[in-house]
Amino acid sequence: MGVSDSKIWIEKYRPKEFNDLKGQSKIVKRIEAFIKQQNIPHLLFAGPSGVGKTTMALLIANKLFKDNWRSNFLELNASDDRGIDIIRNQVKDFARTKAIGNVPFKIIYLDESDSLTKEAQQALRRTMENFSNSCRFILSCNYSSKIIDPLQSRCSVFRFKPLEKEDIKSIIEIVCKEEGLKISKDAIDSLYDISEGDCRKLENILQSCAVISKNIDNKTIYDIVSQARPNEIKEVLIIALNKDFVKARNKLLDTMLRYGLSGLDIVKQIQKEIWNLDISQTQKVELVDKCGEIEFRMVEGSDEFIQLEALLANFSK
Amino acid sequence: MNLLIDKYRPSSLKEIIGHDAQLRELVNYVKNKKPVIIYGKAGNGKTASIYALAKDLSYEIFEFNSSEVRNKENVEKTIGSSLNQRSLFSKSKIILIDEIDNFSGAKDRGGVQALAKLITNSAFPIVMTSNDPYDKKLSDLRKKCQLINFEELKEDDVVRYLENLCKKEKIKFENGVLNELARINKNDLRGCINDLQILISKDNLKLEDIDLLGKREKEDDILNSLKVLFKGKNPEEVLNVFENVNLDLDECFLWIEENLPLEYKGDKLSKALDYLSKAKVFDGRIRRWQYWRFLIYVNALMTLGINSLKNENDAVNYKRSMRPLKIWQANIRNAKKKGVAEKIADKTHTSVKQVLKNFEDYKGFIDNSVSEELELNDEEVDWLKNF
Repeated sequence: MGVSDSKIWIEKYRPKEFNDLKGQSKIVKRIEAFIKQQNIPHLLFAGPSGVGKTTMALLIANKLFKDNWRSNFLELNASDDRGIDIIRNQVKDFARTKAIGNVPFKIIYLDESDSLTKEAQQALRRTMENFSNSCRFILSCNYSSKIIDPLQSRCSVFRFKPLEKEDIKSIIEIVCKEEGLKISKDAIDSLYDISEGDCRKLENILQSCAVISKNIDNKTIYDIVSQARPNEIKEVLIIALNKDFVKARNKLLDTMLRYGLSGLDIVKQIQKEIWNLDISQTQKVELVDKCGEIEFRMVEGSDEFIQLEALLANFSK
Repeated sequence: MNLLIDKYRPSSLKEIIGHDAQLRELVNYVKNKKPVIIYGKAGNGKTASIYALAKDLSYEIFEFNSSEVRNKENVEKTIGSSLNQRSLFSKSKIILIDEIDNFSGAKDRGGVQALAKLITNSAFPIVMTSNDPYDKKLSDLRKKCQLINFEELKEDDVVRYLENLCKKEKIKFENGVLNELARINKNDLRGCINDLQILISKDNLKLEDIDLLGKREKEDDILNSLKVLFKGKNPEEVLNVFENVNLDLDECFLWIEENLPLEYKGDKLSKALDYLSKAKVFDGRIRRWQYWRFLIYVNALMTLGINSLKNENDAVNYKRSMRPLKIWQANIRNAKKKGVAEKIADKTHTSVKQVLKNFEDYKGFIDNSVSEELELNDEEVDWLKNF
């Protein structure tokens, strides 16, 4: 595997060849066929984060454009600037100029396209048509259902899957060998569980562990992970169950603000945690029902925190 | 005793603060007898400038303000006749029509139109003042007038003026008091001077004296309202409890939300919060559909809904919500975090959102060499250490 000189592992170990890209072998085969023909259609990559969507796009640009790839490849993050403006300005400006060097077209990679507003997606549809002889689009998204049909029908859709255990294992081995780390067998299992097939998360956690010790065991990993994700929501729920509503509420607000979480993030976490609480099954079902109602009100109404309080009060009844 | 506001009424345009270019325009229009509308926020010198100008030019002022009926007949009678009357001792005059936005639709019917007709053939300069000349009802009039915008005064200007005034009046003050005064009055100079009048009895003005001015009043308001909300027995009074409170609806919500758990426990608390939550759903629907009738339901749920659960407890000491303060503090903290996340995202083909969501995964390995690669500045490195 080629290694870049970045100190950040997710960059250092970003695959440089199609063969190094783990877990998406079927997609790789089809993409390689496109590369051979020196032509690609518009592409839509759908799948969870950290499974190789961006890497695939970078590889395509690299292989098609060789040394000219930087000037002919535009990477945009739709979630950071999700309005129609980025389509009208940045995308159009890039698409309308001629490709540089001996390459047939340019590529625009639009990451997290599912966070583009509907109007922006509509605008994109026209842009794709108008510039299709000079420019190809690669869209990536978590959920293809959030991409409007006209866009989907203009793209070849590829569905990326979370990495399998074998893939995760081989990535861990490569990194450990290169960095001179020792890792125990159960630590590998835990890393697989925690990363949920997300290679970015895997490598970030691994790099954090390596800062602490060159010998990584299960404990190192859980120290890092529990520090990174203290289970404050569960604590809030337990305080609420003990009928100290005010304390629970204040802790909830602090947690929310500290981690910059939205009300919906919190409801999702509460809903997950309910099943782990020490209460009867009837209670659990009632509370999950409340969760659903509150999530609905949050989407429909205003002031997420009052909605969360209303939910929390059900734990203190 | 002379009120400060009268004592320091400017007697020449030289004493007016700010608006230099606008004053030159004003002089020009008045000399050429062109009708003018001066507009801008309250207390930034509109009327004062006109009086000062009259003094400078030794003109008389004929004022027609909102204390008089300003319907069609009265406008024609009062203004119409003065338009052509020579003034006593043949001094010239400025006709001042104050607060033209206050022409009432019903009571002053036809007044604006009558005025619009009259001003074109006036023998004397006419100056009008307004907070919002772009109000639809003024459109006929506006088309025939020159507009001059008096912008909000600058805090520095207001403070310098107040310093001067305090010196003359021998009022001592602590550092920062006058700035605070300007701030709470939103740079309304008249408001500031009137507030000083109240505070003048103190021999040394302190910051906490400022607190006594208006904010305390607001707080009393809401505390009494909360008492009615939680304890009131007259449904009608409860339903209208927030009508006369000098706070916007969101602030009322915050007060209720903060104090609900002090009044109610357990099942009642959960029911009360449920009402509040439903009120917020209607609130959201208002915003989305701009359908303001839903306000009735918001109000009913947040007043009678909550009141319906009342108990016989003694009244508790109600507290101010800390939520806005906490949010503000968090925003400051998160600005740093966002700055770092942006740099990480930039180097790793990732979105800022994605990095922020998993920030804890990254911060563990940002050591010296990594922060160098990320081009973090010293401030950001320090912040990360203490994170």
